[in-house]
Amino acid sequence: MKKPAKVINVSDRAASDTSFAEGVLAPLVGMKLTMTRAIDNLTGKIDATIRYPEERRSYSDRYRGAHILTSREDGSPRCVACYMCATACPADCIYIEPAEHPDPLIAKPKSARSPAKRRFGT
Amino acid sequence: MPKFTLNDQEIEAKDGQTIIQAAQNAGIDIPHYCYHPDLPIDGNCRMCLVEVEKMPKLTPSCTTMATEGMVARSNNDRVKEAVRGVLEFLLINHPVDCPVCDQAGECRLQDYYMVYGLHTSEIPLKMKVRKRKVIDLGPMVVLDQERCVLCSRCIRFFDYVTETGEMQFFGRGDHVAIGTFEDRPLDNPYSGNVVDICPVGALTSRDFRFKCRVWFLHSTDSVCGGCSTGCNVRIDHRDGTIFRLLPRRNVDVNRSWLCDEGRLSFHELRNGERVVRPMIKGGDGIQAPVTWEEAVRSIDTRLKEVREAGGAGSILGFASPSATNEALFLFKRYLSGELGANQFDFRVDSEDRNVVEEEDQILRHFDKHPNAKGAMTLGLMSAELGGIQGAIEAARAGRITAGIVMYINPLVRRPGDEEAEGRVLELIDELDYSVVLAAHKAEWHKSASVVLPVAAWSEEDGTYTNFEGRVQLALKAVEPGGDALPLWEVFAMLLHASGAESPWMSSEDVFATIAQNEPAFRGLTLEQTRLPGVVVG
Repeated sequence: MKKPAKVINVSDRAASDTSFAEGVLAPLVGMKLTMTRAIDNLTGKIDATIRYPEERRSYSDRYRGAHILTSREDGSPRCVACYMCATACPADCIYIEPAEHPDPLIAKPKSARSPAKRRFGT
Repeated sequence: MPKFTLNDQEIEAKDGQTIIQAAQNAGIDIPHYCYHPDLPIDGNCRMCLVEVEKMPKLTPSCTTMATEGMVARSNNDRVKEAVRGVLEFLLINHPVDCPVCDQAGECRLQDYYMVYGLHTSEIPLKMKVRKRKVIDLGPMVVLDQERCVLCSRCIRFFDYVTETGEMQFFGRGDHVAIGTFEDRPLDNPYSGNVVDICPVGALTSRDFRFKCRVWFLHSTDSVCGGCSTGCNVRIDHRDGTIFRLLPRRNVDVNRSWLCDEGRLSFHELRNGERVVRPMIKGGDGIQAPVTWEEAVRSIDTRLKEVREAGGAGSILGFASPSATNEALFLFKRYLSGELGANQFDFRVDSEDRNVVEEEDQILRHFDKHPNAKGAMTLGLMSAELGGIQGAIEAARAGRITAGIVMYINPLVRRPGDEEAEGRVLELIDELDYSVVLAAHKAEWHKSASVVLPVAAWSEEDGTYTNFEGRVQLALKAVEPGGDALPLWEVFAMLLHASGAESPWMSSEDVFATIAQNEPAFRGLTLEQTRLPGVVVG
């Protein structure tokens, strides 16, 4: 014959384990923080919005943000397809197609070629 | 055989060897620019300076003969400072082209700078000597005079190897520049070699220019498939694409050189569409794709029917002198062993004569196939047929009705090729039942009863026998694509379908079987076919 399962009355147990302080007063402390924050936001004491472009985020020296190709004075990209970025990228997501620059001897001797395409992503 | 000591290590040198040569044989690398094992010694770069006991000054190890009891040192401070001094001088006027220079990653200025230099240049930029850049020296080579370190390797190559003397130094002092007279293009068939021997990025390959950074490339040891010389090459490839071929030094075959045609031969692989699926021509005359299983079973059944009807003599085995020994061996084993065929040939032209005919004094032979000698050694030449013409006539007369034909496009093209291909087309047209193994699609495929896709050069492991009978191993670098299989595997499957033993899991296994069965190859191991290869027959 199977023994009957042990029956626990949950509300009885809850009532007996939790005191008035634990059940009612403690959550009110948390609510105080929530309401203070809510009112501060409504009144404008706390403002998370950055009004771009007048306001900007400040970056640390080592911040790694979006990748861009910097330009020369004439607007063409400075990139000479040296492949350092593609080699370093741990995600292997940089693909470069190099090509010969129409002018083989641009003013600066370093820039003898530029990339035809440089793509990110898969 | 003088014994001498270098860096506390005793080395035995051959008679007449210089310190640097003996050191290289012993695996010690002494930095150098102008020294090259296959060029006359110059001693102008001063990088190989070593300290020898009892000699007051440092001596260049490329010009100093090793003598009995000599004690030399290349790893002390005095030598390292001297090497660093040489580097400082070289780097004064050397342009900072590394980001755009193709030599980056395999440049000896970069390599030695990281070990010996790591100094800052103290010369003001105004004083830097500038020279001409991006000079076109013909279809193979681009010259950048500013990057040259004046080692004279290219000059010595053209003076002593090709004996054409195209390159020379111009000017004096700081303004010495390398070049050709009036910038005339280099038009000799070995001009690509100067790109290999230039230690810096002064002479670069036009074909490889800007295609890939060398550190992305994987290297595979192989043998050139351009002609019967069998020059040892290194295939540099990435992600299934071959980017360039470099020579591997084999003193007995090609020393450090490759001919320009062989160097560019890999481009031919991309010329034309590839055969990708096995195809069988149905009753309606249309070729339909099938699986390998179906193709192999169909071929075996049909060839056995032909044998029943017309006898074993009506089956032809037309091999390719571009196929590997492993492929040719199993080809013969299937046709001769399983079907009793005795009509074999491979000659579309006069390959058996051309295989030993030299096209020039340096490297090239007339036969533009890597394994004609292999086909001859394995008994695939019929005196009766005398080549493809005999086979065509026999087929026309009805003495031969069926055949397996291998045709692999040559990697180095010559004017007679189209005619040769015309003859192959004729042969297939004359045969009632033809099984064609090919890598690239061609006209005659429509006439063939069965077309099977196979691997081309560099897409399978295998050995080739060169003009002098030297068996050399070529390794697989890239995948063939589609359903194409290595040729030996096709015949292994045919043998299996016929009910014969077919235990081979790799081309190495096949080579072991060849070594057991063919008298010319008896006792050979595959290891012997690596550098420098082994001469058979």
